Amino acid sequence: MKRPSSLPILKQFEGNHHVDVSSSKGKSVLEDEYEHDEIIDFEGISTPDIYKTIQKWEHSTRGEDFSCEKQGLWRREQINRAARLEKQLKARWAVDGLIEEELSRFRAQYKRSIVPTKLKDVAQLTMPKWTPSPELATLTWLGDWRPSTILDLLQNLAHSSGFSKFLSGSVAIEVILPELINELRIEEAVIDEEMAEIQANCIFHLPFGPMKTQKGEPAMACIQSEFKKIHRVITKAQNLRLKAMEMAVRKVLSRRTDAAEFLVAFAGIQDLVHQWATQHKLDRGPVSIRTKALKSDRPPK
Amino acid sequence: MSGAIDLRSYLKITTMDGSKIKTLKDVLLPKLRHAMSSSSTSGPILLASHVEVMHRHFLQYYEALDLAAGNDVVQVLYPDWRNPFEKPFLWLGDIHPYLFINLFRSFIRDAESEIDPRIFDKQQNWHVVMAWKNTSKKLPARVDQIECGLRLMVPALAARARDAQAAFVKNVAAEWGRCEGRKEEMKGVVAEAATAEMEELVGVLVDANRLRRSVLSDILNVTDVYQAAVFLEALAQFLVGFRNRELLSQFEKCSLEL
Repeated sequence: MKRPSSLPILKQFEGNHHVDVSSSKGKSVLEDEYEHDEIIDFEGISTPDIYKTIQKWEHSTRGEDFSCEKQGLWRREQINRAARLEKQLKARWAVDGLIEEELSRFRAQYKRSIVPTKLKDVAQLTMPKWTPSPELATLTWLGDWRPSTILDLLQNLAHSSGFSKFLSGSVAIEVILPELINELRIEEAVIDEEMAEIQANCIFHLPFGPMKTQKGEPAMACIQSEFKKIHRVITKAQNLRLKAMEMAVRKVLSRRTDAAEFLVAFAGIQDLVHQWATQHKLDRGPVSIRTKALKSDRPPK
Repeated sequence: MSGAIDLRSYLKITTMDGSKIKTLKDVLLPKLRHAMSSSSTSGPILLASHVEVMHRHFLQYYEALDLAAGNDVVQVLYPDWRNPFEKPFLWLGDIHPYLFINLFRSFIRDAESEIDPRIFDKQQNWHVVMAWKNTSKKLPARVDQIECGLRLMVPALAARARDAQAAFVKNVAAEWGRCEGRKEEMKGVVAEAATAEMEELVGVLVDANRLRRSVLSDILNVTDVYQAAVFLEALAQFLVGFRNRELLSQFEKCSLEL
């Protein structure tokens, strides 16, 4: 009889083995109890455990009689096990679905903000009104999360205690991630440079600069052209953010539970920063300044 | 720092920038222009004093921004009091320091071109018209020198701002694992990490303003009084332009066709 490849895993559940299950709360233990259909992380089962289970399964079946009764029992158990396996699979699909949903939400958020209709909306992209300014200062670059900071967060979470133990020391975290962070930082610097070029040369293109007598072009056309350039740079920044998020979830975190754990932490930390920022804005109130300094009559340095 | 934080002190900062610009627009720029005009009879001494007053105006403006940053750097980096027209052109709270050097270079470049006859419409003093026509041969090398320092400092400041954010995330992430995301414990962690980050950002902003001040002063040190006057007049006119009411109302309505 050819054994389906899934059987050793089924047997693993049938046996009284303890299986490490990774969840956001850390380890938990799975007992062989049919009434407890917990969600099992298959990727958390180590290969040696599976081999041990295969050996045990092969050993216990060797030399037994293949009676009709045993076959019937086997079939019932098989159906039972398959049902439980199906449940686990569905749960994994649900996690996969939620991760994809989260990624497409980021995609939609960045795409939506990519289509401003008015010139003044461009300012909303770089300094969005709906994000409290302390939050902008804490985490953002050109209007939203800085791409390299997204991966910095992942790197530091992976090294922190309490986060998935499979990550720290892995090639993905120790080798690939630092390379990706470096790559993103270079791309950010390139975008910064492009933005700087616009900001440094706008004096020659805006209608009130010293070159204002340019070829009779209407003032608003000059302004529009500058804002289009800025918008192009912001679009690049948005795409880089999305790339960083996809790198984290698809390239670095190959295990879906790790990806889910990262997304939970990402949202949690963003929420905490938002709360702090809202409070900070209230506490600090509008800033005051010594007007004396403005009236000082010191000679220029 | 003034401890009183109320609506009136709020108005001080919200109008700080505005009043500075208003002074520039209504007092300093017209005075400078008058001193540059052919009808002015008082000569280079008066012009020099107007140049100095405007230079000092810029230095004080950056000092005021530094003071405001010491109170709350967030409001200087992401200023509510700026209009949506100027916001996208801000780098660390104000105009990009490259702009000073680019403007300066444009005058040196123009030195080789023919005199634009339209300049005579401005009825400027002959020395002002010719200010950039007989520039010192050493000038381009000195501009290169100023720009070289600037090109090193700007990316370094951007990297410092980025590293401050990375350090914040590092501090928060380390505790997130330990607290297992427990919100109450994390609140204190976030506040502490954010305070440390803001302190670093104050340093970055103050250094950005120092860079602006030093580039401006370097430029004025290598120019004569007529060149300085032409340079400052162009700069002031540009800054005032962002507050042009008529242009702003057109801007508000204008759509972005991509």
